[in-house]
Amino acid sequence: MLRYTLQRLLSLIPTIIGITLVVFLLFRLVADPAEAILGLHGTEAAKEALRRSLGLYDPLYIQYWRFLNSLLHGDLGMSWYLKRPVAELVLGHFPHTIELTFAAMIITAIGGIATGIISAIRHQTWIDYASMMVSLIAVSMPIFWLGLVVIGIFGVQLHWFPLNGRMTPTLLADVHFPTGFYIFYSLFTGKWKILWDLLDHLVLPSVVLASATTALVARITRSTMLDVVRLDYVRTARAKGLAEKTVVFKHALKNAMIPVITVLGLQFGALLGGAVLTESIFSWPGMGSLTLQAIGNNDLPLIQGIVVLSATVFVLVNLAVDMSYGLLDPRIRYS
Amino acid sequence: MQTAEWKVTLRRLMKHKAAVWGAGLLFVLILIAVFAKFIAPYPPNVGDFLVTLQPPNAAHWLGTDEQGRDLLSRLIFGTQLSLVVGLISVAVGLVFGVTLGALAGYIGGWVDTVIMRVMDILLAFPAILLAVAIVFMLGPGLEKAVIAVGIVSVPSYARITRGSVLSVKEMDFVEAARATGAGRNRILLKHVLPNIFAPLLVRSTLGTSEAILETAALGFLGLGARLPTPEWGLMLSRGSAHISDAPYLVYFPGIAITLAVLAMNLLGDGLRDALDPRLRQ
Repeated sequence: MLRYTLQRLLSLIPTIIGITLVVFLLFRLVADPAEAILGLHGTEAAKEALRRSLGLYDPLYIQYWRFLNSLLHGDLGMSWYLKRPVAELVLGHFPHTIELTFAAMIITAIGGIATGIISAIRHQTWIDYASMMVSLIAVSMPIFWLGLVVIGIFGVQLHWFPLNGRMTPTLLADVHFPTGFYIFYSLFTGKWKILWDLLDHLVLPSVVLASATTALVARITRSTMLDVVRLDYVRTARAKGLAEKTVVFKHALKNAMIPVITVLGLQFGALLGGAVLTESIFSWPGMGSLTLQAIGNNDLPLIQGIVVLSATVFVLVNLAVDMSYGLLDPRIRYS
Repeated sequence: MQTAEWKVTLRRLMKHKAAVWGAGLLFVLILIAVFAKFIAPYPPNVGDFLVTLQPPNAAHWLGTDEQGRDLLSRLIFGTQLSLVVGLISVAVGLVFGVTLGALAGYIGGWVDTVIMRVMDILLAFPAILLAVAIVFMLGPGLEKAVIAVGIVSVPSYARITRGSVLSVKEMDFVEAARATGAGRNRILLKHVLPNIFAPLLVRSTLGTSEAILETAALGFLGLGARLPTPEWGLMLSRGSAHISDAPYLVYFPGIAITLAVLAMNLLGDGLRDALDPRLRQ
């Protein structure tokens, strides 16, 4: 297992180098940084001087090596607009996105698997048809639209939840968070009032972010459960006279979970992408908002840093998903 | 696939209730798109400042926007855009994805390794973030958004094509074509590609719905269509400023996007079931 883990970790190196290469080529070959920084107001001479100072006339492989070397030293460059190190900005915003994505992941896992199981157990009943219809509509809905609709209904009209933001601004003055992991910090330091406020602000964005992924996981869980319950060993379990609950949860579910876990892991990328849209609607101060800010300000190093970090995290999560198979299914042996 | 097999598939598709609903909905959307000029009660981009932000009423069935433009007319013209955008994005993904996947699967060796590693790396990016990065580099605009969405979908088409080519290229009829002296290109175009049409058709149908959603998302982020283009994502984005005083500006474009995506998803699901050899038995 340890050897396999090390092998898989080593195999990540070319992938991560590939990610950096794609980002480098995308941002170097298509865009002219001097044009982007100085824009219409810069003179041609100033742009030329800037290109020279940024080393844009060096051979591409030297530029790439410089880029990679900086990355290895944790240097993602300076934000052109915010004039702060990109690494600091990205790492400062990332915890907010992690907490939102984590909450959405929990909703996806619990909501998706539960709905899928219920649909499979109640196969071809109105519960099955209704939940699958709702799932199909949820997959088809634009996440940014759903966000606006729930704000309109639960925020503007019913006043059940705050419209947007991470927490009530007046409460923010009472507490100093050392990192962006507000919820974890409040939970472990016992700041219950603040925790409640944070969770109150988390409900709408996390449910919206999780809507499509929950629907997808429900559909996959249902179809894999339906496949598994037709297998001989499940029939044997039923023939032995085991209770339906035992058959479903102890025998069928465990084997049906492997493709579901794969899909769940893959949803992390969708959630990271969806966070860009969700955060923009709910003014959530995470990577999505930072991305929008970078787009608005034409901040190339910032976008570059966000894309590299998101893709790297995505790859690492996929590795973790791969490694979890062995825990779920003892038949899978790593060699 | 043989003609007889297509007939069986079509029969199965006609019996698939969801697929029939999807096809019906798509047919209606196509009719709306084709006859937009005749159906729309008002020109899509001409406003009337005397009727700004009107809620749905007899003169303007779905209300008007902040410029006094008729929302229904803009949505009708937006149907044209969304369907065309979805199809072009899929075409971009198909052309590059199928070419790369077919080369990787048929030639194999280092060509396969290089192409598929690049595809794996592209798949390592969250789709919408990669699309955002590409449009950021190309500059905003509907055409650029369509290209970005198309590029993002290339790896999935390449993977499907490669997998299908790998299984088809070992079949007897390809061997027979090779024995008659047919060249690589001829075998690929005449014998292999027609036989991997089924999985690509399913992927393209579902891919169209993804493309419509992603293009609308880019429009919503301000990276897609520019004003005054009646693009659904952009209309939603503009409408979001009026969520409390004119929520219909948000509701209707969202319903339009959902219906278009739902139509493609229902049809895609139906096609997948109809073409699935396990289910066919």
